[in-house]
Amino acid sequence: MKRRLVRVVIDANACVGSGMCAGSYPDAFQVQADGHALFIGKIIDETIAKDAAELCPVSAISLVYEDD
Amino acid sequence: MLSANDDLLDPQLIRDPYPYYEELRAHRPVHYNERWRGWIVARYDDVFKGLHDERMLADTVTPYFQTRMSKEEREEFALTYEVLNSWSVFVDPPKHTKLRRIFGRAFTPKAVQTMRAIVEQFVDEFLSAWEGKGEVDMINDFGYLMPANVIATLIGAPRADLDRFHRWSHELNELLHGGVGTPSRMERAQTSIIEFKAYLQGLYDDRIGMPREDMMSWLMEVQQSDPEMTRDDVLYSCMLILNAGHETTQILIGNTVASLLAAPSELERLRREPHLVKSAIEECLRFNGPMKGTMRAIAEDMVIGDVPVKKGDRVMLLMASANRDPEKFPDPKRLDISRNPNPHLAFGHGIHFCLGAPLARMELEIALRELVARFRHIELAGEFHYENRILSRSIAAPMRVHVA
Repeated sequence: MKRRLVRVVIDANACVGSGMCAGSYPDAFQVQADGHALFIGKIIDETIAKDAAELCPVSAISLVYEDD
Repeated sequence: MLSANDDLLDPQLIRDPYPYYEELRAHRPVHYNERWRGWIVARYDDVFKGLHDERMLADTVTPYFQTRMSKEEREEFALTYEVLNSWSVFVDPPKHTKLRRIFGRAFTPKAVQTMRAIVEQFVDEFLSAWEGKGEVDMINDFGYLMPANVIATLIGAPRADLDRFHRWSHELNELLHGGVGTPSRMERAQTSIIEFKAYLQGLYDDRIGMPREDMMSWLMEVQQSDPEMTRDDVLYSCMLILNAGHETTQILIGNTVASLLAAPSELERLRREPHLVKSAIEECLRFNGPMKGTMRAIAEDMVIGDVPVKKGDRVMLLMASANRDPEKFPDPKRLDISRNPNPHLAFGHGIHFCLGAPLARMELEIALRELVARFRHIELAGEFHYENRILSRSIAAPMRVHVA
């Protein structure tokens, strides 16, 4: 069964606003005024989402999949 | 109560700064220290905002060189400036964004998992050497050895050279961690930088055309694919990684053990519930972390809390005070190894969040787990003291402990 990435979730308690995600992929992530990152991508690109999750120094980004 | 002329190196503040921080948070959360010549920020909210505010620059090196040095001194210490000005910790966007994008890959949580075996090997080696000893020095017999060996192995520096780069790092940190009482610290820092650079250049030359499985070779590869990056960029980055990658971790090990020994019931609880090791480390980071504060330079007139500050002013953001702010942490003076949530600022926050945090966390996790598992009894065997530094809170060797 194929899985599809449906959501990119950022744990605000874990996020330290390092900006690694937003600095690397400014079209997909943005650091908000409160210092935490938000996913702002219009489309969900799995390659970008996976790389951003890996780059995060506190593993605050998780990817939610659904079975197709 | 202290005054606006507070001596930040007052022996009482070096021994225990927390009552002073409590007084600051309550009565003068943002105030100007005449003696230090800068603003001191003590409350969690203000420190947090400061760490995220792009008007507060991390490049405090340039203003220091411009305003506190003569033309002759600037020429004499040009190399020190060149090195520090290349370190991401002292660089602002947009240059920072690029540096961080390169180095951010080196210490991601996934990348540091590949370093786990190296950390476990050194923790085992140095703690095994403790068996049957009875009394050991927590700093020199472990706190320094473990992280220094780990980071040297990662970079590709031979183990035999450890004492040399430890000495260079220490001299450099007298400058960077605010050891302002140390005589001729500028000269000593520069001498260390010259020797450190020559040493790293030797390692670099050994790898030309013969890359190895280490971080210096990886950085040389990055350099080859990036026309803007020079050989010196590689050398200075290795200097930063070797420096930041061992002394701050050494400090964290000493402070963590000190915090747990001062709260025996929490240490016993960790023995009974070893799964708490990760939250215990976070709590020790909050309770008595390695860096008391970090400096920033104000880029334009602005307001901190409700206090107006001017362009060019310098600021000390006190993470160690923020971490004890009762507005953020219930019962902040209590060490609670299961505290959750624990949004401490010990590694900073924002774009300068400690690059090596995932590695430091893993090193502490393995060290603490093994320390508790191997030794039934750990207790202080004498007094210890903290180094005379404004920005870091670092236990000086020896820190003697009985282990059995």
